[in-house]
Amino acid sequence: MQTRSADPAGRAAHALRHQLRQADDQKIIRITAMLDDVADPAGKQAILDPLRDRLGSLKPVRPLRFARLLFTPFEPVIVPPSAWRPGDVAIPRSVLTPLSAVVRTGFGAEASAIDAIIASHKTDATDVVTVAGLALWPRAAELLAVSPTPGDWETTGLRSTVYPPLAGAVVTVPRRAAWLRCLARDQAIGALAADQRTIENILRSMADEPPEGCAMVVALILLQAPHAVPVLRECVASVRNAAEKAILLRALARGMEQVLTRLEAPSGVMDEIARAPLAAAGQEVRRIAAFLGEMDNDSGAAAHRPRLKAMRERLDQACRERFAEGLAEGLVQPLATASDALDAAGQTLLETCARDLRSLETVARKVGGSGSYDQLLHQAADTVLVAAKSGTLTPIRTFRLVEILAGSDVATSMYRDTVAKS
Amino acid sequence: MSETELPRLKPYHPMTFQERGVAVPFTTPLLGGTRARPTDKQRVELVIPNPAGGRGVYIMPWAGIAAWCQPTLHDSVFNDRIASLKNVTPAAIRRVALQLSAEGLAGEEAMEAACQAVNLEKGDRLVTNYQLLMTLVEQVGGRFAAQSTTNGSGKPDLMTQARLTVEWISPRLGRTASWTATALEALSDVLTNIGVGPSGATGRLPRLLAMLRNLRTAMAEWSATRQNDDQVEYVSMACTVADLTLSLAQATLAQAQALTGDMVRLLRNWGTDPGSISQLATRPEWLLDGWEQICLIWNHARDDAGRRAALVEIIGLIPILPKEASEWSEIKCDMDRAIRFRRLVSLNEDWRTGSIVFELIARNEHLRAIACRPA
Repeated sequence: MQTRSADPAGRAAHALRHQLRQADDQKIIRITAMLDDVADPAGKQAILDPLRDRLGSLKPVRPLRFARLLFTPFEPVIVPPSAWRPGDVAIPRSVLTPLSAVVRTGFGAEASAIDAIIASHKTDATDVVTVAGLALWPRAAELLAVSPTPGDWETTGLRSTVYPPLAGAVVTVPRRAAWLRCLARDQAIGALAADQRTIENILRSMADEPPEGCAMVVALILLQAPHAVPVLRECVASVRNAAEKAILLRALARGMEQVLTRLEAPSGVMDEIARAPLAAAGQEVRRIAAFLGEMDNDSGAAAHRPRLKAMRERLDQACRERFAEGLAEGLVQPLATASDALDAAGQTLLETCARDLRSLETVARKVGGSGSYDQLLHQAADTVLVAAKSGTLTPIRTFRLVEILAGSDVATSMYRDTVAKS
Repeated sequence: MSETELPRLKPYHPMTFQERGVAVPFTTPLLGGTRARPTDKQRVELVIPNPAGGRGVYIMPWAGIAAWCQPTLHDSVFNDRIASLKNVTPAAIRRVALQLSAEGLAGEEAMEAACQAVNLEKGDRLVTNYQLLMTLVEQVGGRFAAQSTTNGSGKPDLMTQARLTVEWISPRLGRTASWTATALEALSDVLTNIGVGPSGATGRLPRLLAMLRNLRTAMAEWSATRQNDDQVEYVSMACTVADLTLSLAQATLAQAQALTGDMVRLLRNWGTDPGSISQLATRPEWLLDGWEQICLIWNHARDDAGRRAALVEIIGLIPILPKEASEWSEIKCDMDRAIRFRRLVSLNEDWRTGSIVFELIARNEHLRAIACRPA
């Protein structure tokens, strides 16, 4: 039987956690922002820990702190402590604080230089993350590589024998973090093909690292920059040393397995798509679709085809559900319930939502075909027209929403008709 | 439009600025860097950079565009308005762009910025008109015995001085005072952008010049940290053309600003040959045409990855200087050297045709809003 805390503060925290579990996304983002200004790390952690899954999907912008910067390159492979086992291609969240303390102590007074770079910046300051990260990651790797088990290791709930192999694997990532970040940012802006030199830099001396570390690097590439997979394969294939090549091929296979398992997990990535903000959902689907596409084209992944097919179907289903929900919540409902004419801010929100929906839909069609998207978009455009008739939208605002939802040819035709009539 | 239906890529070595065309700030990503120019048949045709990033351009009428890509509503209306222009000039295209933004066709942010810009420009024209008048007073006020021109508080009554100056100079120009006043207003329309008087550095073109100078410095600094040969070469090419453009634009801007050094002569020439004054005053605008979008794209990039992507995009947009530019100053204009590095640049499919096309349109609309705001 669960005993309720007699401590009033504990009871309040328990009640707050319960309420937070029921809260909508916007509320969670607001509360997270408020908690970021609170000095008590233990209390903050107690409130936020049950929400980690949702925070992972929502990806709220957070203040850039030393520990957060240090573990930025690991983000996709950080897992709850309960989901981690020794030898996994991941790191448990509970080790972040002690590992960060090791690095901070090792930096000594120089840590303040990093603090100065990141001061008052948030996690969306990509350039600051890169600049400060370059000053932090390589040296952090070397500090962790030689550090004995931290004194506060017991707070992780892990045995002390876990530390040496885990730290050995962990350092593989920050040693290559600058290059990994390069690939991930390229994928995020969708602009460039992967640079062969970047991949070569990542692979350099990687065979000397522990297998878990190598596989973690591969998993990070697959999760964050799947567009780099063909170049990665080419680079591995061109390695002349047979032993080194075998290690890298094993890392590729293990990293691939890790990502596939992650995608197959019942409450894994597919659920994240369902919970993620629309803009993030589109990007996530784009990454997963790119990964599945690369696996499809990979002759070495033939054995995985049945798994890929099942994942594609789940991804397709997740996209349809997220699209339908986003359309209803972000567009149809606000328009249907608006009592006054929409202002500029309201219109901007609707346009952003419509664009995010189209971005999601464009990539989702490549995953599972057109299906119900046309019909839903048609319905949304009809809702816009009804709102226009009721005076909620001005003609130009109507045309712009119709343009995003139904296409510019439809909007142009409506615009010209209106101009001709006037 | 399939590749077999596309018109053939054509070499692009414009002799004149008219032939180069005027950069149109379309928001459709595939139409980035498109220029409009008049044809012999009094129509407008579009010059579209090779979307693969290589040499050559596509030249086609708007009707061809509809088969090539799906233009935004903003761009379709833009084209309708261009078709009705008497002269396709950078100023005319800018006016249309501002008008469309003010109507809301480039989104809420651009609409707000454009409405403010329209008011600001009216104010700028008024200020320029005042400055031209005061320059005239300063230059010729001493040549006649003016009546006491102080107001009640003992300060100089500038408006009376101005009226007297116009009344004094007009017969000497062989014109009426009303003609002189109208001429000063017309001249302020022509000279507002170049910046005259003590605020010479704050006109739109001096600001654009400063923006290009900053871009050149930022690109060169960024390039110094690069190890990728292609990126270094692209920046080198961009900087070479930027340097040439900066030299020419500075020289022509100085020539245009010098027009007000002798107001009597300026008014006399305006009476006999207003076209040549307008031509002289608009040269910097022709030279800088197309660079604003490049500066905005570069400045929009938030980190290294963004800058690499911006560079890929910018390379296809760099305005080629026509031979005519050499006739505008004594500066040698060697474009062959500048563009020798222009080569094929690969782009991710998503960038132009995939899901991020909506993000790019939104970005282009955001750039429209920034372009409307004074620096």
